[in-house]
Amino acid sequence: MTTLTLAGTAEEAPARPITATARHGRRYPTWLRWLVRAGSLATALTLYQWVTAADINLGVRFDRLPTLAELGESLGHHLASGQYYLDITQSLIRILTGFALASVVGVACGVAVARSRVLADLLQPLFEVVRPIPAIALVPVAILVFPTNEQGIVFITFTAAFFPILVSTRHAVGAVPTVWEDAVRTMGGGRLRVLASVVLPGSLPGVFSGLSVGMGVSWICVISAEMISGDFGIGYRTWQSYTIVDYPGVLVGMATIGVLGWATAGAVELAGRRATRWLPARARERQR
Amino acid sequence: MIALRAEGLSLGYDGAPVVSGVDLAIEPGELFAVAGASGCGKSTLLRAFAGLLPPRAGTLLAGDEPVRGTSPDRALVFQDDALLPWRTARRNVELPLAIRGVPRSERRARAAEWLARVGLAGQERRLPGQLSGGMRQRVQLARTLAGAPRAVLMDEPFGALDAQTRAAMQRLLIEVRDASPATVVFVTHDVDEALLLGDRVAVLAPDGVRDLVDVPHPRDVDARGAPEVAAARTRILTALEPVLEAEPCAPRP
Ligand SMILES: Nc1ncnc2c1ncn2[C@@H]1O[C@H](COP(=O)(O)OP(=O)(O)OP(=O)(O)O)[C@@H](O)[C@H]1O
Ligand SMILES: [Mg+2]
Repeated sequence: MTTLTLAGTAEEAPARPITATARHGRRYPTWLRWLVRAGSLATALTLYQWVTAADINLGVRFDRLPTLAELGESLGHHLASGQYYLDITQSLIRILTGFALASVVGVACGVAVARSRVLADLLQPLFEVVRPIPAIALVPVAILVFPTNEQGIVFITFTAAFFPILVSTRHAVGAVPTVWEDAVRTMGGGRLRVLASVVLPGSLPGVFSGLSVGMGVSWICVISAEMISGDFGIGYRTWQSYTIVDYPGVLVGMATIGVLGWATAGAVELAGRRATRWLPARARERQR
Repeated sequence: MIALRAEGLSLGYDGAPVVSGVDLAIEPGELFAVAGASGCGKSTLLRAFAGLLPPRAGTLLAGDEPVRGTSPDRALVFQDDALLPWRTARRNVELPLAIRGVPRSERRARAAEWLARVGLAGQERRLPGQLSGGMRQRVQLARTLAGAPRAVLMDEPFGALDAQTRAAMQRLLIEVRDASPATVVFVTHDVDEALLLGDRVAVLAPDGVRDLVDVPHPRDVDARGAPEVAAARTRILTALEPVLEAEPCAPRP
């Protein structure tokens, strides 16, 4: 019986290398990947052009949307006006300030809550009560409390990004294997050394997933806040276009938000990859 | 060098104690081997000596001081992977030197030197994830010895090595100990390794030290075939046996 099975395996063996070839087949060159990505966007644009130019009305009134040509024209006007760049800069300053503050405070609070029982008891109840409140619901409070509009919007962006970062950091710190900390302690490392050499680097992968989520939520909130109470910024401008019935302007504003959001999310993603090169999964990605 | 003593020591985690009634007196500068069945609390005992696990009962002394916490004087080579995966091999070895306040340039040279001594010259810039299990174990050994501790606690340090590398590491350990004397406590499943390296071998069981054997002709390769060594070997094996068969080393309810 045993001999038979063994012989069978030996005979089947030559068929095996197929798996290896299949794996190699999955490697496809970087230029092709970029081509596919660009193709995906181009297809979406073509579809848009088709439904708007052919005046399609399937219950949803695509005929009311401006065509690509109209959008291109509007974008041209935007690009030629200084106002467009001012709005973009204003929104970027707001989001980056809020996000940077949220990163520092969120990571610090997350580590504190995960590492100290006293601080957890002190801070955790506050966080849990404030966390369910949507950041955008803080607009009235922000208007009341902050002397300038600017500070209010930054505050709302901060609050939006703070909680995802806090929660991810707390979990990531809790998931750091204890053997790393034990090792540093048996070398004579104290609390600060453990924090700097083990806890912070060890929790980075989780922290970065919080930063990614935080960046996304920040955009939602900065745009909404600008629409409600802004006097500048890409969100304010988009809403302004709507009130003056400039639909191409609305869509150009939306597309701008999309591209800016994509760029900032990409930056966070890139930083995360650089900071977590040591993860086994990253090494596997590089081989692919 | 530092003496390590346990009297009526009882150790455990959340539930029932893992080991109790441990009495040991390890001399300064001694090479002390600990054997015992899997799950009998050998790693637990080393963790207690390292100051990572407070005793449930009994006393634990390092020199004349009770062990109250970790100290750079009592370094532990962990059984499982304890290298920091985001630091290269060299930066891992530099860590205890950094903790001791060695200046940066000197750290680098000393770490490279230690890596060369464990046979890993040229691998300094690799991350632990890019090294084999045996290589990682050797980096851990280099990291521990680089800190020049007065007591080295080693949990199956040569477990994942081939016979040649293993012999080389054993020689390195003896060499390092002769150059800068330290008390060494090491856990091993290999009776021959215990007999080759150790001055004494303790066989651990859940109810304390089952047997304590003086090794004849320690660290003398030529005396390995001697009848008194064979007798010591048989004695250790018999002490190990009932632990394996009659008392499975699961935590008692
Ligand atoms: N962190 C822990 N929490 C709870 N119980 C633990 C913990 N670590 C070990 N134990 C228990 O303590 C007992 C002894 O474990 P220990 O690791 O000391 O064994 P060991 O003698 O080193 O075994 P091996 O030779 O397999 O390494 C085991 O029953 C194990 O289940
Ligand atoms: Mg063990």
